[in-house]
Amino acid sequence: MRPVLAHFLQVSGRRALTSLCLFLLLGAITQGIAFALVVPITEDLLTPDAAVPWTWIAAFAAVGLVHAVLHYRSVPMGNDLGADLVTVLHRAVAERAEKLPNRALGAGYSDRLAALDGTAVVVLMGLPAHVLRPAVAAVATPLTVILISAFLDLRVALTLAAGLVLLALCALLVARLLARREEPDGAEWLRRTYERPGAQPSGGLLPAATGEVLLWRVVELAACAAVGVCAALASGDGLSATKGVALVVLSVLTYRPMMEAVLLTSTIMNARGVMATIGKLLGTQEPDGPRDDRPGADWPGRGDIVFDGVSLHVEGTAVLDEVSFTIAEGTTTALVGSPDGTRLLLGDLLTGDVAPTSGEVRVGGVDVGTLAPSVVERHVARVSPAAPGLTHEEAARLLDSFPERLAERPGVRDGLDRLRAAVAEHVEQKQAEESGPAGEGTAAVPLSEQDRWRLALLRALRSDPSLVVVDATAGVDPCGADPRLAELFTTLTRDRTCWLMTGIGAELPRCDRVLEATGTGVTARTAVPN
Amino acid sequence: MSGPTGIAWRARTALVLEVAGAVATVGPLVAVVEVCRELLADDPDGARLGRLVLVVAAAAVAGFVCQLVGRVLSKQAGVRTQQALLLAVTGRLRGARAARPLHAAWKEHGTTLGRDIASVGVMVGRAGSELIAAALVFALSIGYLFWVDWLMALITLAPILLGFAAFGVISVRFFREMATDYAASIGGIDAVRPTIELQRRVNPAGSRAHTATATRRSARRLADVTDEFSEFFRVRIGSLLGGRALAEIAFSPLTVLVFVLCGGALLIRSDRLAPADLVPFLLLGAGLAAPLLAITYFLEEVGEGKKAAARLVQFTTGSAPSRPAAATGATDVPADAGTDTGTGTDTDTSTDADAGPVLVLPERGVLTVVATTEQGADAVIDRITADTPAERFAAVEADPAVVIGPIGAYITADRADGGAEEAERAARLAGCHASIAVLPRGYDAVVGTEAPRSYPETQRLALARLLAADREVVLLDQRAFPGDPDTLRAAVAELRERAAVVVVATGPPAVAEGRLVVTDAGQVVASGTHEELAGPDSPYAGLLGPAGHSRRDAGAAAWSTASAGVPASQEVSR
Repeated sequence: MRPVLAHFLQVSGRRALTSLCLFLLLGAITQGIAFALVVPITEDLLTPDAAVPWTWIAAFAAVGLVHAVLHYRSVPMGNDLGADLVTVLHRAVAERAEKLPNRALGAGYSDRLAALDGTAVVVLMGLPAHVLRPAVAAVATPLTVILISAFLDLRVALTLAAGLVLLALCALLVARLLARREEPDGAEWLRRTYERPGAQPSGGLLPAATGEVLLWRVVELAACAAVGVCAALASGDGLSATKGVALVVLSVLTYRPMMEAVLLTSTIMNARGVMATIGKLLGTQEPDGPRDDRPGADWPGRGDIVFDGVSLHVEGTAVLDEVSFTIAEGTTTALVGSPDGTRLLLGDLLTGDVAPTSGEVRVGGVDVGTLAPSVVERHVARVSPAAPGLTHEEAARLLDSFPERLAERPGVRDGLDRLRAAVAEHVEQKQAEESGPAGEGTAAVPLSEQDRWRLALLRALRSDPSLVVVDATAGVDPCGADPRLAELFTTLTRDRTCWLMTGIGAELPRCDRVLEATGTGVTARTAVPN
Repeated sequence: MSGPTGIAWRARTALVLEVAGAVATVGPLVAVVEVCRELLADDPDGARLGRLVLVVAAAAVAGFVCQLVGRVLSKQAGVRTQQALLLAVTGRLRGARAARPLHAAWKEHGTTLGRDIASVGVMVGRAGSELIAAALVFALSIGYLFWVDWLMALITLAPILLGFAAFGVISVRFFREMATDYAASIGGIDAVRPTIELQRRVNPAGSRAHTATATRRSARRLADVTDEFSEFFRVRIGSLLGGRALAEIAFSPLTVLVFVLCGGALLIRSDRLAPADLVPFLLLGAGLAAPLLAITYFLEEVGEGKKAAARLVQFTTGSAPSRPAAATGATDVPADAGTDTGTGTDTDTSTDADAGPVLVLPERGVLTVVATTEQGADAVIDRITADTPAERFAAVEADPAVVIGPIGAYITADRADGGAEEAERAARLAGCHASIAVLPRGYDAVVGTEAPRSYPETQRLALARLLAADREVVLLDQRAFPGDPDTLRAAVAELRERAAVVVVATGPPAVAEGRLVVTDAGQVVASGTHEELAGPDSPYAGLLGPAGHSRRDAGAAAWSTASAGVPASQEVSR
């Protein structure tokens, strides 16, 4: 929790937290003063025939009123701080995600981001309001009582102080015990549903269980010791019976705020879990703080793509072994061979989405792993009909924003017109559904595969990328199925570096070079005549 | 739900021990009250005082032991419950029956499954115990106070009741004025969370950039909607904070003590209450509200756990798709549709009289269903999947197969006697042996980063699993084999003698021999042989358009591993 809170304070400043803590501290002190006032009141009430100590009771009520005012004022402060905490941390997570490369934003990161849902937000927002107050009271109220009780009876005060020291030590022990067992979070459980189990939680169940129940019982024992001292003093000649009983009541009240704080252990554990998730997203959990994993290199002006001795090992297995080849700038290279997955992996290596175990992939002499994510997004276009978001709505957006200067290139106008027709048909269908009798609507028809290809190619053309990666492994051969798509493909790849992964039974469009992936290696096969 | 056992007895024993722990929490305070009574007696008995103090200490130690053992047991129960849930989810993911419902269920629940497992673990292992402990401590305390003096107990409870009244007022205002907006605002946070499709998790090759882009977009949107929620919280919920603060003040120990002291003073002086009877209210009254507040937190956790358990049950048990409405009573196939194609007796798989006749499948042989739309094809598949017992059925659908674990084990997962040889035999039939054999670990390779697969390769693995299994009804969705009709035909040839094979196509069928059934929007519109149906103006003929003909252009070089004629000089492995 500490590094995440430190990050929050670094961004938002300490002023709001200091103000809130000041109010909470004053509230805890007034509570301690009020507890101390219970002694004379109880003493008088328990004394037969004594007058009702209305003055003391009024003083008690007045202190209680001050406490109430402080509480009333502190509630909005706590809530504001909670809201700030959430917004600052979530904004920090978003900023970090923008800077992290694709290879760092895998399923684990995504799942931890997904864990920051409404429940997590509410837990985090409630942290200052619900947890900070009992935590401050657990320390400040007993200290105040002990200080005042020293004037009533030093021996009782010393016993209470000894108990408080013991409780402080126990609290530290409990914090360690509870932090010792690293429970798998939701992302880890999710990973285990489809991957190997991984490491079991460190630490047994006994320390965690001890952490949950120890402090409460030590509070009881500390109070018991104080009660014993009070009883001994009152049964001897040291104190009157009524004062002894009053001090017994005070002893129990002294530790009461600690019991309230202990009851919130579960809430604190939940907040700790949310903080741990945010810590992982922010990289604060790493031993040396956030790693320098924010590449910032720019796209080189020009240059070839070079795979230089690229190897990839997964748990000791060589998936790729010393792959080396060069792709000349502005050329189209078809990557063929089996399995398809190896070719897809090479595509991921090409764009820096996977880091090789050894070797380097360079674009114009620059290691692709060092390119800033925004640079990769700007200069690399991935084209696949299986890409998410290839919908009628996206097609409509593309049609609205497609630059006219590109529209007259070969195949583009036709592609736009066909997409426009598909969008119009979709709109008509939706209108018919809306105007028709309720319940007779049919499910929305997705874009056809050819239109998805069309949209993917035109979207890539609009972004004017330096490198185009075409993944045709997943569907029907687009160029063979529709010569207009082949024309659009040619327009997109003209004067650009293009990497094409063909599918089963596919026909290759015109390309400059063919590379064949087989097993763990890649070889140049045949030059293709244009 | 199979898996770890011993959950129930651990949970029950933990419950009993929590009850004992709660008694041991209130017991010492009662003993302290007795200490005070003894002190206030005319002649305090020192020995009894000593015994009572020892009782307090012993009760604390006994309570610690009881609760510790109870918590260990409940945590063990929690861990075992999580393991059982994990097994159940993994079982669902590894089941091969219906891919479409699995992907749909994953879309709905997938991202939260992990957190749901954690939540159920927290509920069983921690929150449940703490809820019981807090509730019992409150109930025992209040019971004891009423036993001492009911009127004084009511006075002690008065501020707490006032606090509840204040909470009630703000709750009513909340539900009247802002509950809907609150639900929408906080629901907005849930709505932007990223969801990674199942196949992209298991086999991320080629999709990492999409996952990263979606994650970044979600992070941005999360920050935005959190800002909006915070603003809503400050402005709208902030208007309720005054009431909440008043309720908290009413619950505070000082307010309770004011009531106890004032009420006690009046009752003592009016001889309604013995002075010594004030002590229990001073000792217990100040601590009454804390367990109540804790109970509200624990109830939230238990509520979350229950919802999570319901979602998990829904995910793990929802193996078959519900019968699609569009197909209900619609896929009315003439009785001879299957007999002409099949070689054996018809098997009417209809289970619902109201739904009308359904596709009549042959006992053995092939039935080709040609749907005019993708949705129509899905409806037919859903109908067959829903109507066929799981143990008799296997399918390769258009939705990507989920291949988890070593490839060889995946292929033989549905066959008890399946070994490496069977896996290889099935893989050869499915046309994927070569792409497995080149992997460094071959059939032991795990799909994912070690053995990345494309969509067609994944579907061929699913086909190999289907071929290795001994199922009586198999369904092959032609969309699962784009550009690869030969693999489908080979599979049909292998299966037709031993199973009812249903081939579903949305265009020109790869298997057009025998009788075909044409469906439109789930309705059967024609049936017959290819030749009978291919006449002019028939819906079937419309499906045999240009896509059914050769897709090779004269201008492009043909590079293929497919069976169609390809210039040998230019042929490479795809």
